[in-house]
Amino acid sequence: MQKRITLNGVIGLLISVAGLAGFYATYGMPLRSNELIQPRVAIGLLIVGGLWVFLTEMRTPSREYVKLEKDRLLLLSVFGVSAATYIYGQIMLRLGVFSSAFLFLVVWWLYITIRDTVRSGQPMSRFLVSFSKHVLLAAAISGGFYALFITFLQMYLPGILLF
Amino acid sequence: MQNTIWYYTGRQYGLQGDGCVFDMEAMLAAFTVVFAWDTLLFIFIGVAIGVSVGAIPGLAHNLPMALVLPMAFFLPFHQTMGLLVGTYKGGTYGGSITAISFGTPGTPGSAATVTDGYALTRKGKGIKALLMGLYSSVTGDMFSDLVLMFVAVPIGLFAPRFGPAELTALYFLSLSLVVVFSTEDPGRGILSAGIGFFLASIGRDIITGSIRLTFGLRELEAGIPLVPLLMGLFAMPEIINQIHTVLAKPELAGRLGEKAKEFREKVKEESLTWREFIGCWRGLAIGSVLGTFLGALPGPGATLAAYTAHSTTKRFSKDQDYGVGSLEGVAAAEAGNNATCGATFIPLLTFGIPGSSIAALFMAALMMEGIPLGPRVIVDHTVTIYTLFLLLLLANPFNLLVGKLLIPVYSKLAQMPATIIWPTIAVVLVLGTYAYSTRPFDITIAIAAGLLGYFMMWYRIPIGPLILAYLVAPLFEASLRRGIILSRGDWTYFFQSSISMTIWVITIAAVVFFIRGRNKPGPGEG
Repeated sequence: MQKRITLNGVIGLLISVAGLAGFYATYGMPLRSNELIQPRVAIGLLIVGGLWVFLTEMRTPSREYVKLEKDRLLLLSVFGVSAATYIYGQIMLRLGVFSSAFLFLVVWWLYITIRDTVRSGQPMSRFLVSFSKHVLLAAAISGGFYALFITFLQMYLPGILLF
Repeated sequence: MQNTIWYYTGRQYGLQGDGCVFDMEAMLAAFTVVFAWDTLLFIFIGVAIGVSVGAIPGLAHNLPMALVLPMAFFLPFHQTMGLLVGTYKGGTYGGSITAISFGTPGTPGSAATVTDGYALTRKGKGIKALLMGLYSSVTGDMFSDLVLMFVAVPIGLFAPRFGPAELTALYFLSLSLVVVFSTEDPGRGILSAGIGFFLASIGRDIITGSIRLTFGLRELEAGIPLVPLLMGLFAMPEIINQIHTVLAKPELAGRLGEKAKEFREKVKEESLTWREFIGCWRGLAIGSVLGTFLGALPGPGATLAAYTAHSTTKRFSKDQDYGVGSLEGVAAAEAGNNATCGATFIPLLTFGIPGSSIAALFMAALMMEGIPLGPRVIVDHTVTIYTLFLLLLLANPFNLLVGKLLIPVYSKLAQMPATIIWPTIAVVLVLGTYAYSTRPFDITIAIAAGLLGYFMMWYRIPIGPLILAYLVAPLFEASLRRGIILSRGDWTYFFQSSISMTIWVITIAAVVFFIRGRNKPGPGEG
């Protein structure tokens, strides 16, 4: 049988190695042995699971579950969405539900509308009409969220400047 | 007045008298109260509130129920309970709507529905999935209510026999079932369970209060909350995927005023047929029975019941698409989820033990009405308890009605262009996560969980075992360590009782059955 080291297997092995390091580290923790039962079970499962994936991948190299996508847009999406969500969360805490949701949606839809206009070669007048619709929609959605979370559910928000 | 007398012998509860379980006079009195227009109206309002709030990711039905609770001070009992029961049942079902339409569970209990439900929506079978979710929820719920009515006392008698040894065995069984059944690759299932166990270990030790694995972050001392974890694991990877599609293939994303391209060419989506519904009998039966059983035990809850039902049904289902867009998968998860509704009341009404936060809310409402819960509640407040039984049963048709009314709305929303819907879901993710306990750090937890969820999706690690391990780990640890303390370190304690031995045997048999099934050559494999 042909054996091969695949990316999947390497990741599994790395998880196991990290698990072993973690297991070793538990001996240096200022906790009683009873308190360490669950963390050690968790780390043990990670070690076993990682090794299992590695060995399975060695035995059946044809099983290609993971493709390493060298896609710039994918990385941009992963970190862009995470960063945007975090920034939105911080703005929400400072500006309130309505203003932050409105700003978040308008900025996103402004980008999308500009990109669509450039891509399809539409005139500026079309861009303005389309963007205006999006602004109205953003206001309606933000108003809906305000009514739901603040008026109906009486959600507490500290330091609200605008709504 | 009563035909049946409940008595307490010092060891157990039983029946004597004419052998009739129900007191007919009390039942008639309860009928008169429940079938009044005002009660029906309050049930309807409760279900509508429950479904609507349950469908908002992050907002579990605990919140509207907590808001409704003070009404017990000025509304009559039947109206308050109608409102609470309706909100509870509607909320439990409502979570499946967004789970199926957007891949974002409205409540933790509907997380198991995402796998098959959202896959069906992506295949253009959203209405079928939503209807299956609704019908199976009502079926599981109805089954659970009937079990509550007819076998509440026998089940209530059985539950206290579960000590630390039996509970440890039971939780181990749940975990084993999910790990072995949820994935074709056990290594990835074990990895997922390991991550779940690890996340559950973060925070204060449940016995001693020592701080574990917080990496110096004070915010983690209370542990990782479930709602931000679920929101991140389910919603964030999907948002990332959809935004990636919008950026990489803008022509597929659609614009304001037009439907997403994948739905555009479809003329009319087919509804769920009776044959399809009945064809999922395995999922419905397993979900209803497991949901009722697990719901009756203090601790497990709807999420655990739904995952256990979904993964157990996988073993018996003949649907080739199970796990990647199967109606039976939706049926199992939703029946399991909703079958906990009636069962939650079993320990509450028989022993006065609230087995979940929802049961605790009901307990508070009953106490505000001057009804002390305990072993004598059925004897002393028979009409009240029968009223509650009837309200639970009656809320099911209302759930069906409100669900049917809302399905067209949500199926339309699911067809909105990705450029519109996913940024809005991102807003809901943040607001819902924050609304859960108004802790800004929960937003960071949701984002971190989202990155973990994306890695797991990319590496094909199933999320089911993670959620189950996360939920079971504290229960497992508590019963294991209590057992160790009680037995003074004697591990044979966990194998001494007949119940625990039976559960261990079932666990070993299930794992062996699974491994043998996997090694058996399939059709065409020789």
